[in-house]
Amino acid sequence: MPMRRSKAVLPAALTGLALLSVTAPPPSTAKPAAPAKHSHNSSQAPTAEALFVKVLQADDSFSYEGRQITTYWRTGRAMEVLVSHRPLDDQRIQFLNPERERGRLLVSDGVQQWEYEPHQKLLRHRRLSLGALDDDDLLSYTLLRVNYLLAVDPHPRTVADRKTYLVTIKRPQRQTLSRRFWIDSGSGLILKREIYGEDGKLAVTAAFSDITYHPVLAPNLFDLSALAKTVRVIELPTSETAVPLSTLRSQLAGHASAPPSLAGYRLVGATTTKIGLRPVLHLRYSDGLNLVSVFEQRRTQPGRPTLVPPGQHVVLIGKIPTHVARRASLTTLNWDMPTLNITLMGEMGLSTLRTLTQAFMQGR
Amino acid sequence: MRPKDYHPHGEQLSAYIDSMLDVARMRGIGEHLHACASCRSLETDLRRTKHLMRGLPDPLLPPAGFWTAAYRQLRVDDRQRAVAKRPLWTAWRSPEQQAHRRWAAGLAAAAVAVGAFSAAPLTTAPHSTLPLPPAARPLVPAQDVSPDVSSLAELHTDSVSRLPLADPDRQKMIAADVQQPESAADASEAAGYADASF
Repeated sequence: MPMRRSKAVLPAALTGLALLSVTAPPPSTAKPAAPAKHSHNSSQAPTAEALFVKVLQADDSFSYEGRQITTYWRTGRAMEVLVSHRPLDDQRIQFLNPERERGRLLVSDGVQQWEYEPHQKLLRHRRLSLGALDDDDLLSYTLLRVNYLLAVDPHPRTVADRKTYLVTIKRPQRQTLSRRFWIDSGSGLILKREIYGEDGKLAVTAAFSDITYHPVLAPNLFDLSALAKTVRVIELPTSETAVPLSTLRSQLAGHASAPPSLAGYRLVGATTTKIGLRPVLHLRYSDGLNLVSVFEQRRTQPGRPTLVPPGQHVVLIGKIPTHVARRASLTTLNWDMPTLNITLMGEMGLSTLRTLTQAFMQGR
Repeated sequence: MRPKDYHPHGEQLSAYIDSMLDVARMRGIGEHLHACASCRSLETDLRRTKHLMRGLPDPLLPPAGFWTAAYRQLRVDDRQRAVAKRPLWTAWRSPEQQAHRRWAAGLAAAAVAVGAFSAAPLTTAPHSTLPLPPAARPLVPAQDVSPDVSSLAELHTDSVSRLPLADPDRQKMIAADVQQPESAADASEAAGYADASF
């Protein structure tokens, strides 16, 4: 699973990280090493910083193909997909299981994405949002260190027949687990990851059951143009324009609200887009590990509450009625401010989202 | 989701253009429009009409008291005319004839009012005893609607994919899941995070 990184910014970030970690080994070459021999020599275990560098360097530099199983433990839902990657940004995800999802395809080249629905014989096409973040990996790592406790198990583990190092990330308050990553010691790919709820219980596991580096991939594997001629194609209109953080106050005719931080989350990027005909400001807040989106839309009728789709339930945050919606593993909160309608979205617990919402309402 | 051969009627298309439908209907009509040239043409026309309508100045509403004043003025004029021209014996007209006369006066009042109303933006009437319409007072616009969650989810997951240590594959799957029609499974999956005692 390569990271989508900005090549221009990466060297600067890596320089910063190198200063942070005097024990970090020099960056590896672009090609992944051959499968490493298992070693139990703990003195050779890399630091978290070094592994972070390695993950960043795994970016788009080699091809691979493998089966990945994602399990949502709290609902029992599991999906098996075949992931194929080709440098620089060609990615293909083919759904294998469950049966009702078999044949679905997601193909992207880093700029646009095609999604094929075999049951509806439908191809959805959309442009990916680019330049959405400031691409400051150093900032991300700094936030990660500030907000979480990082540890590397010195003993290597085996995942998909590869030697990996286990990085554990905990929340400092109650020492509960937040993430666990198994990072390929040779390639820097994250071969397995676990996501924990804020109660410390396991919520999601995504792991490669097997992986092949430098596979022979068919040339047309990432090209759905032939398919596009035989099925219906739907264009999804999502495109964004990056906005410098220094100019946020002037957005939405001067009504934009953009606190620089929210309860440990830092404002890391902003864009504008249009949903329907209405301009929307998209703010991104990160704690180094998670990302929360805040979407702002100007209200034209401050005296009348904004309409929300039916079926959303209402919670009071402060004294403000806030609508909660859940789709896939995302939770959204929507509320009205005097001149803005705000939607906060993230893949995390409602209590965290409530805390962030409260911080946003208070402007901090 | 509606069947693909179901042609949305004008009101539905209008609501679709204004993003006033729920996500499933928006998607259903969107997919139908992609496949159906005649509906697409209708939708284009409707969009163009709405766009043109937005370019027009806001229609004016008569001020408070306009109609009362108009009728009062008409009654005064009517009485004056009656006094000046009507022979005395017409006061003994039958009630039925009087009713007809009132009806005609009502029509005339409406005609005068419409005339004054439509001419008001173009002319001033310094000698008129009727109050002029006030400065433009817009009609109440459509109520604000929160953005479509599936569109926001795409933007969100694209952003998450760019974080270090992110899982771009799973994020793509989440974005694709949100595009699917809403189901009970959706709610329960997100609730897995949200309902935990965080």
